[in-house]
Amino acid sequence: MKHISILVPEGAILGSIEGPRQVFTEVNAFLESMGNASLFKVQLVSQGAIPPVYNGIYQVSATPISEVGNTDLVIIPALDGDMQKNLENNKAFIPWIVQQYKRGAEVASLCVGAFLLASTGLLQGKACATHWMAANAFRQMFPGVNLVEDKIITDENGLYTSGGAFSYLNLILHLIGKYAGRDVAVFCSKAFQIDIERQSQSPFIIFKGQKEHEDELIKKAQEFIEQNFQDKITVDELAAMLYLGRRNFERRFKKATANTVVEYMQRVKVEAAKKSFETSRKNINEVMYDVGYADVKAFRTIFRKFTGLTPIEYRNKYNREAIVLEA
Amino acid sequence: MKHVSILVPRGHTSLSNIEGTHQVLSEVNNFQEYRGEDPVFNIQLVGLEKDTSQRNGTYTVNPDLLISEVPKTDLIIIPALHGDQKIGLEQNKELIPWIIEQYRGGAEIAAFCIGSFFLAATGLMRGKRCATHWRFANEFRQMFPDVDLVDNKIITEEDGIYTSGGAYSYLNLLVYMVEKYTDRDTAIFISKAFMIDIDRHSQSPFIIFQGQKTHEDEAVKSAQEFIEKNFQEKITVDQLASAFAMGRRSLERRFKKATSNTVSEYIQRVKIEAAKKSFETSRKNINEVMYDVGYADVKAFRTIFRKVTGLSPMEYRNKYNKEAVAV
Repeated sequence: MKHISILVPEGAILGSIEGPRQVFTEVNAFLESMGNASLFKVQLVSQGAIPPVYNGIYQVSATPISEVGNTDLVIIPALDGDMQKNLENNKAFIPWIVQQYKRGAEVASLCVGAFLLASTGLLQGKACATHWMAANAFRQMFPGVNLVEDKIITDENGLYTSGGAFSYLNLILHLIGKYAGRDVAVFCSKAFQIDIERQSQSPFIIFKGQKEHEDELIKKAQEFIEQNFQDKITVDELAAMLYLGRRNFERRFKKATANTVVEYMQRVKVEAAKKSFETSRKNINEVMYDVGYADVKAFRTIFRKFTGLTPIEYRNKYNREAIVLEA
Repeated sequence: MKHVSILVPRGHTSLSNIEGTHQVLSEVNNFQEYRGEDPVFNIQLVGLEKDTSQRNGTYTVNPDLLISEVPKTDLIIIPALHGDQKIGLEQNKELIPWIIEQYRGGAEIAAFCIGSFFLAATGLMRGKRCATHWRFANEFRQMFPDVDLVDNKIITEEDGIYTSGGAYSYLNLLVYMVEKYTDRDTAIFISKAFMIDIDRHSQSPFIIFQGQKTHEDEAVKSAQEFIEKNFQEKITVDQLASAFAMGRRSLERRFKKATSNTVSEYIQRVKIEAAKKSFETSRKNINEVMYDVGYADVKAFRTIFRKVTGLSPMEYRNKYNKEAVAV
């Protein structure tokens, strides 16, 4: 019997507490219906004796960590609002999580629950996923963690993290597959209608540029790229425009934005192409020329690198009229 | 501004539905404000009493308003009520006249997952198309024979009433409704922010065929069992009719009435369910699986497989078989 502790932190998104509770509980019901013993004991766990109230609406009944003893899996749900404040409000969980991990428990964070997990220090040097919207903030706060923005599941040394929002359900299925077997995970994917084969966050990411830094010159370069992405821009040209040496410019750009100059230009172009595929009736070539590519193969390769999908797959996913156009 | 009433019935309500809806619609408002537009939704939890106990006391929900305090609303959300449907209906029957009155006053209604049982109990679904969780399709048909259940769909809309497929498919209905109430751009933003696959339209890939045995026609039950044990052989309707000492037409009529499938549909569904299991767990190729379940014609097998699952055999295997990509 695996003991699962689902944390009930201050500022949690309640759905990410109740969702896993319900899925793990359903695994037990499924196993029992097949004549097997149940597998999980699921407990909601709070820092102190009085669990938090959410939005003045939801009260949760939970067991304080001081009464929990040994657990096998700690689930850290998603948190809402200011992260610094959330970390401050939930700091009593941190030594407890570290202690459980050192004793042999596994730990899984859902969506931006990754911030709480990272603040334990356990993720140092390890791969970590989180919501793509929080990627920049995460990198700034935890430069020692290897953030993998495109993933919805990481699994390293008994530490699991998930991509954003409802993609945490894919991590829950992954855990069920590990603990209960693939067939049970497939059953849960059907019962809860979670697409089990989903592996990438890329089709959902919206590129917005990374401007939360203090390097004003680099910000200028970013804006220049964003305004002129349809033209051919070279790194030398940008460097000259800012009176910087090429190598110095590249180093500062990467430090400020976490992308190379070339990657940044590609991402701006691809983001414009995505918008066009979502809303226009233009074909692939037209869109390609619009955003400044002339070589179909290069365009496809770069498009797939950032979105995880081919241009046609992307259009079919997001453009309502795409199917009609194909016919 | 649309007033949205998310109902909080007594018992074992899906808090994932309640909280998820609240979060998604709030994010729609944030997105509108970010675009410099007015918020679209005024979202409130509406219940029958203060401090409604859920899941045997695990949660206590204090709704914003009681139904008596809501003279007029624009959209009613009925979350899934788990546990015994008859008890759920009995515990919450005061909601029914309020829902009917609001609908007559121009409100729209959306029922998620098995919230459709509660919606159907209002009588408003008579003759209308309705989706629900595939696991409860048989029970639904028995309880509400005059509602047109479409168990392969995850979204229905008719006369201002919306219903969704099972479990997390409610998110697809939500995105659909966001688009109706706002626009395509907002719906795409929401699908990316919450990682909801906007292009999902069918419940079929998730349905597990379990036979329909919750009826009293013993002869038909015997015929069903015969089919399930001998599905790999060629079974004809005439053969079944004579084995169970019935006329062919009588068997067909009684079979359809008891199982809501024709005999040949039932045979197909048993074969396809066996093929699905095989694709999920074995390394057999499509032809091997096809022969195993008693088909000899690839084209016929593909057509029937797609009709039942919504996917080609290859797509199905790629979705559920962990090693498929490697193979």
